[in-house]
Amino acid sequence: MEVRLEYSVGKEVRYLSHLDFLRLFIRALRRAGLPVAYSRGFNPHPKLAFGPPLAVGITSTCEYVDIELAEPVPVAGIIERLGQALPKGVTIKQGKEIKGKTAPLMAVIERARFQVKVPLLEGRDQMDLEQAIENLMNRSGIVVMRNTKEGPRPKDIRQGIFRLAGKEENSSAVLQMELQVGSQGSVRPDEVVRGLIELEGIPLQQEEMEIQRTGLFLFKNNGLVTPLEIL
Amino acid sequence: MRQLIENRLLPKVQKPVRYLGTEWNSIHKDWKQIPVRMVFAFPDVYEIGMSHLGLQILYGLVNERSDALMERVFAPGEDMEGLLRQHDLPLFSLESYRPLTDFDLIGFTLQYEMSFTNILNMLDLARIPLRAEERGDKYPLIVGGGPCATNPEPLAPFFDLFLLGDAEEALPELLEVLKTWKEEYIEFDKQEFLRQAAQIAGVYVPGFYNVEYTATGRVAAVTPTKPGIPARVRRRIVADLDEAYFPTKPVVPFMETVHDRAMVEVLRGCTRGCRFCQAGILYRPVRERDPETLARQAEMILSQTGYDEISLTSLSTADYTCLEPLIKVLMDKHQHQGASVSLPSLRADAFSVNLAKELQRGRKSGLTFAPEAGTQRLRDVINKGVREKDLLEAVTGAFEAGWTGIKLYFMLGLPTETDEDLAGIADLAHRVLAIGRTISREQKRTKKVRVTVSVSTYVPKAHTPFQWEPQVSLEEIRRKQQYLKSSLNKGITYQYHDAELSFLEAVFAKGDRQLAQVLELAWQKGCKFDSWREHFSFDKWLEAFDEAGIEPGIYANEPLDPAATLPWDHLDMGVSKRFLLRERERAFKESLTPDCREGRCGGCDVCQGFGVDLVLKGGKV
Ligand code: SF4
Repeated sequence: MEVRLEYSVGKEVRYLSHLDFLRLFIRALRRAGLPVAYSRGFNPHPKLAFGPPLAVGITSTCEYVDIELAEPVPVAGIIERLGQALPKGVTIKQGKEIKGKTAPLMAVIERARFQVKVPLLEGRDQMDLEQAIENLMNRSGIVVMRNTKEGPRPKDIRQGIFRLAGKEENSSAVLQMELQVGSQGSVRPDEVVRGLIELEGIPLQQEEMEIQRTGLFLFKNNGLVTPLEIL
Repeated sequence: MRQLIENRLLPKVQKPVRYLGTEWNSIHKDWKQIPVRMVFAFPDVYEIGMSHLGLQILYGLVNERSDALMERVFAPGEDMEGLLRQHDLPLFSLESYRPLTDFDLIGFTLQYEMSFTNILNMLDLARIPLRAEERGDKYPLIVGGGPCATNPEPLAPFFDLFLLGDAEEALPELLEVLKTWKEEYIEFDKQEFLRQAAQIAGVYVPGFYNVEYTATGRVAAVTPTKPGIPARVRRRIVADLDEAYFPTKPVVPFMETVHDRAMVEVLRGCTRGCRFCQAGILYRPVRERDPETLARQAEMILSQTGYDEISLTSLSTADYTCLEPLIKVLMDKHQHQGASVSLPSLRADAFSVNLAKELQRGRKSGLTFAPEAGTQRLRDVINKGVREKDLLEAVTGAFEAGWTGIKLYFMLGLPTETDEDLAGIADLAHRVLAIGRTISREQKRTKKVRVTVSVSTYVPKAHTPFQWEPQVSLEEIRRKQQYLKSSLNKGITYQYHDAELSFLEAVFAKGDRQLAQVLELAWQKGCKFDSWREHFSFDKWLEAFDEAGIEPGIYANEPLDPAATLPWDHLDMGVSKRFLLRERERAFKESLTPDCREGRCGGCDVCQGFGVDLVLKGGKV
């Protein structure tokens, strides 16, 4: 049987890499005594498939993993047993059995929502921030530097920003973003923040940024749905 | 402190997971409830330290007690060190993020000489004065253990005490003494505490010994300065491994470490009697664990960690008398859950290759064998009982079974070595390559056969039959390395160690207290992580020796007089000097000493001295 789980990533484990999470889930499943299915072949590996990797340092309310088990186990049982075998910071929120065929998470998820909290360096009022966001979104191009294998390269991220809103709270800017993610290319929340700083002159303290992924979505009949809703 | 480090420092370091301290099975105790607080300090980075079984054993052992806690600290990476210094923060423990000065005791494990500068650096980062005499009663006790504690003299001024031998024995007794002090609310008096601690067998308090030197600056005598302090300190030993504590809930790192798997310790000690080998002396006699104990422990560890591989560790696991039945039990029980069994090292014989064949899962990339020397003559000198025939049989078996890469491990600069012995290494490697190519052709394989010759430079170690021998000079090491290189065909991959590093290892392995000053100077000049090529600076070390007015070659390259006092003579491993001298003589006569597991005691005196015996679960071999 195959199951899709939704879990959150708390502060305690935000510095784990994608590979660390893979290791962590495999071990937790074994500790929980859940019969994970293994692939055949030379180097058998457990059948686990994650959604788009979460960048190191970011927390999340909504990560997804598909797990194949060799024998059927009730979903509630999986959530409970796995939950007890996971370290602090990783919480399984809900899950659903996958009946029939589904495309891999990594291939179908196209949108991600983030909440970014970043301190404002000097007293700017709310008008400024909202105005800056509007100005940024009105630009036809937003070019930021992106680190690639060939070194830093300019990259226009405008087409990958679908929503940007924000307000000031206790001298921090709290931004809500909806960005492109997945196989067609991704925009990172910190790139949007850099756009606000570099192009609109908003004095944000990038180093102290707190980012949380708050949603992952795919398209169904031109509307956004979560990976659980599609099942 | 935790908030500051988590929010401001960790985002800036390359490997933040090293510093989380919240791994599965990590233990976080309430400080208010626990009188005795200790931190285990590993003077290298997290992923190396966490692979160390000794850490897991002591971490479990101490934390099982209700009256003590143990946390962990590793040498921080360079980026983290820079940030700590920049933010003016002290080195902290992983579990509670407390400064190390909050602890009663800091226990450093001394695994290799070239980690010594890291110890000084960690003390400095923890804002603890380096020298014991500068520390007074308020600072934590600095304790050392592990193999290098058997000649810790170059570190002596920095430490309050050392534990010799199996720490499972002496550490709990030490903690008991400490607890009495803490519970009775007496004002701590370090000198008095150390005097009491020195009564515990296996505890060596270097400050209670005076070292006299000869006119040429060599150690003449080491004598206790106080009444009631033993003239010689004997190491401790776990007599029965089945009774001994073993951790079944080891900490499971988030990140990949060097040995990222479950471990059971099948036996301790090795009596094959290789004359260069220090471990072969330090852990005598052979004590095996019962296969039932091991199977039980393995099962618990797998279920508590979620690992899918269990490694049967020891100095020479292929020698375990119940190996095959144990492997069978483990496979029957765990294979269907996708778990595999692995051995850390192989003996160069057909038996071992057959085992490896059975255990191997997935790709057969490489196998390593250690003939150690290139000719039978030299292998007889070092008492390495590997026959060429055995080795060739083993590699043939390996190639036939589908392995394509063979690594052969040798030592260069062994006593009595000539160029003929080096030529023997090349010869052996060429023959192995030829066998591999023939088999590969016969089986029509596409993957290229790879033979690697990996050569380390021999470092004479304290407490071994070759402790009186010099290391060959630096120039000679380099010449030998080049000679061997020129003898090897292009088809062979050749790896060798930094000659300078081996030279320094030789200096400190047989060092005395005068070298403490050199360590301190070298550290001040920025030496740390010396075993890492990108950090190692021989020039800085030479400057340090120069400033201290000490000629390193005296330690590394001059023979010692068998009649003279050695700097470590007051530290008793239970193996008699008479035995070591006899082995030395036999070495030069190229005569072999059989393994006492075969039934004939070789007379090293360990068993009589400790009142123990070999423990072989499957009977004598
Ligand atoms: S005393 Fe004899 S039997 Fe015991 S370890 Fe030494 S050589 Fe072996």
